[in-house]
Amino acid sequence: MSNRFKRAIASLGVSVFALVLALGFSMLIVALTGNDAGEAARAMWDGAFGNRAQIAGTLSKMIPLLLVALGWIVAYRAKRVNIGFEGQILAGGICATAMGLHFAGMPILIHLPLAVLAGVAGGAMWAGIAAWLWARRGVNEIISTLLLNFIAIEIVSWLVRGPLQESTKTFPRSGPIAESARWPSLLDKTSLSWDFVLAIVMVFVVAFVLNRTTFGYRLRFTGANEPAARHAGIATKTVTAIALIVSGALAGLAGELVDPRRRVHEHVRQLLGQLRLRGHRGRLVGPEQPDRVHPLGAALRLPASRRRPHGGPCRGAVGRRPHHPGTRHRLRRGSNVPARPPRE
Amino acid sequence: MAPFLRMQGITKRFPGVVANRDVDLEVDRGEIRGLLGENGAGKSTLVKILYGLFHPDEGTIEIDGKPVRIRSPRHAVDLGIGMVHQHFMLVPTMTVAENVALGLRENHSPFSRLPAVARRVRELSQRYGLDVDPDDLVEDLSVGLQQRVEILKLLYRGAELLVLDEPTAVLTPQEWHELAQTLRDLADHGKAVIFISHKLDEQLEASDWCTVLRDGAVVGTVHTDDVDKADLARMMVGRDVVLRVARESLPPGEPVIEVSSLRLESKDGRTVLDDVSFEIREREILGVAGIDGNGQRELVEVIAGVHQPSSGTIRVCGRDEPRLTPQRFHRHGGAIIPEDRHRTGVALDLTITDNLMLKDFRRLPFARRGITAVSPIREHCEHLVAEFDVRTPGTSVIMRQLSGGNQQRSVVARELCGEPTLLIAAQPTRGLDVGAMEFVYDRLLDHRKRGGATLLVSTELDEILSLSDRIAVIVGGRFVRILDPDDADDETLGLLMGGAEIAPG
Ligand SMILES: Nc1ncnc2c1ncn2[C@@H]1O[C@H](COP(=O)(O)OP(=O)(O)OP(=O)(O)O)[C@@H](O)[C@H]1O
Ligand SMILES: [Mg+2]
Repeated sequence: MSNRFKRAIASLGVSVFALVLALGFSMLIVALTGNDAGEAARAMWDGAFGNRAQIAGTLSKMIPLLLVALGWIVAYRAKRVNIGFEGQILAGGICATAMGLHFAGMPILIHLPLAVLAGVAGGAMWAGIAAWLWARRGVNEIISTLLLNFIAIEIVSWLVRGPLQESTKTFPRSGPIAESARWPSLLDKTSLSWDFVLAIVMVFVVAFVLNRTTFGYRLRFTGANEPAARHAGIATKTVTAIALIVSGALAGLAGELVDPRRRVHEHVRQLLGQLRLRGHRGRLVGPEQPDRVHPLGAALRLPASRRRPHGGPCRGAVGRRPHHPGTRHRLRRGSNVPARPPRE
Repeated sequence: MAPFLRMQGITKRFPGVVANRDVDLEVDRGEIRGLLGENGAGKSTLVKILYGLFHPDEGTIEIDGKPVRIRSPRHAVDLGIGMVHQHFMLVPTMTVAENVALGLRENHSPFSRLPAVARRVRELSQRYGLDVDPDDLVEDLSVGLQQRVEILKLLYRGAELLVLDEPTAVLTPQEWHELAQTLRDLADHGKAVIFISHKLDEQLEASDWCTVLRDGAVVGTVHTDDVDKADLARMMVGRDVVLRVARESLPPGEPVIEVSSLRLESKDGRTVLDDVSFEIREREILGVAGIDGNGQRELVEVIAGVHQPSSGTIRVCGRDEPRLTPQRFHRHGGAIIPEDRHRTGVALDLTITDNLMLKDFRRLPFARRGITAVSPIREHCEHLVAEFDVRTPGTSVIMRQLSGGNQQRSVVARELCGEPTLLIAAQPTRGLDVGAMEFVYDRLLDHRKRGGATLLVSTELDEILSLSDRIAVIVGGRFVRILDPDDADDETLGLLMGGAEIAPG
């Protein structure tokens, strides 16, 4: 017991250290550009925690990141590195959106769960491709999940200009999702909705599954010593494939929640840029031993990593401000996708 | 003159244990010093301190009379301390000379100086009678020769003190005698040697002095000419140890496993098991004697369902098993103590509890509808740890922190609990001290008495001879002979294992 406690403290220490280091460096860079680091820090704080709405906004942005971090943990327990969250989020987002656009008029108690399940299924399916390739063909999951990202990105690009495009055909984005497929607001006059509760519940569900179920045990042993687990009669391939699929399902769930405007459009990608940042940091922060990456630890770590002033470019990116698809589009494109001439 | 090595008042604490308590150790040039002690007594910790892997909490170390603080293995090598690891650190696809040159610091491109390295290797090999050719590929060498390459690497780097932590677990008796001779030659040339082994015979044969540790503290240092095995065992354990077991004769029952014409080909088409047939009945122990690497591991893995045989049949408890899997093997009440505990026995990064539950985690009362039950598991593990005397501060400790012998004890505990019907015990006492060995022998005999069948695979002839009801000798994947223990002795077995043709009877 005290051993576990010590490990938890150590893991928390690492998180805090990483946070302090990241903040320190940001402030250093602000100072190097000749600006007032103190003021920047204050603005950051105000932006993230300044008032009720901003705290709520920070929390609501935390949600998809939290789910993706859970996905990382599940896959990494089996020593598999899933770097395809981006694709899985998009796959989940596509399915959830498709579900949300149709069947309008259904009661929310049916429509919303259906949309959520569609998101989960989309992410699971996308990761399932990689899992299948790994189990059957021995394809390295790092490569396959990465490459599946690009495929998902292209599919989204096509969908928002084709089958899923809004009826006015103005922007490359989908129409608004039916009211009955949206999460009801949790806090009045803020962006925080009930999906926040779902995400927190998921932390406990994942923690429970990993630590208190025989599946979690199989997963743990498979990750820690695959040959030993196999000799003891654990179906390690199946277990690992399931871990990858669950990991994708969690990302798909994040995809369902990712866009506050409930539309799949290309802005999703800007958000994904931040997700990728988080992904790297997740690896940096996560201790090398998979059994030590604790879901509750992830929950503690995540909100902090999201502190940034609202109202900056970041917020616009989530879809508040009108925008010029052409210019923004190109800007974003440069960061993560092979260059391509703008279509407009 | 000061001795080459003087350690004084060394104390090393880990959370919950004192691994070394106020240990004094002096080793002089020309001396072979044995270290002996129960599992977890602190032998490995002491030599790891010497090799710079751990830093002592208290105490001083002097080399040639000069106080030193050994910072790292690099530093230890600079000070003339070398360690032969139990798992060899060699690149199999490289030659001996290349392996020696790897990691040398003095030149940027060690390979440009390979001829010089090879010349020096040859010279050293001659001087110490090591008989190693620098141009041989390491993968072509026997285990015994690979070990000598390790020793050569140390000598090349100017080691004055050589440390060997349980170097003999994987050696044949012949290779052991050669190693003992090598150590003697090294000592005669003025090197100091520290030698850790649980085998009392080896200590008596090779060491000049033997230092016995118990619970981290030195019990005493004796000259090996003045003591016998019983004395050493008593010093170690603190009581008399019965080194021979009493195996009562029991009538065998129903066949538990019947294997006929088993054949296994490796991926590259070599025949690893050839026409192996045997049966083991209830209350029977079949001993498989052989030199390491003659197909024992494959035999064990086929019977445990890990590999499918290329041809041949296996019947378990009277049922044909055309496709045996580890799951089915377990369902039939099979248990397996694997020969390589780090590869297939334990997960070093998981807790003792997790490791102890590997065989039973699915079943009641430890799991109900896929959910694990915390307190039955805790009670079960605490019970096992107590019964099998696993020395650990608690069951939530990570396996890696246990001493080698205590890791082995956990594997034995896990596999022997729950009354298996068929037990495969491969090298069950590897790394165990004599007390634990005695305990495991008793448990194997209990298992037999209860009606269990046992396949005992061992390179220790004593073990095979004293426990088995029948002895099969395996050479090159074939059972060359199955004989009665009364007709067998060290010598015949040794000859058969070496491939000699002896007419039966
Ligand atoms: N890294 C570690 N962390 C915590 N405890 C440790 C660590 N290494 C060793 N110990 C503890 O120190 C004690 C001595 O261990 P050590 O490995 O020196 O024993 P040993 O005499 O070599 O035993 P064996 O004969 O089983 O190899 C044991 O109780 C072990 O659990
Ligand atoms: Mg040891």
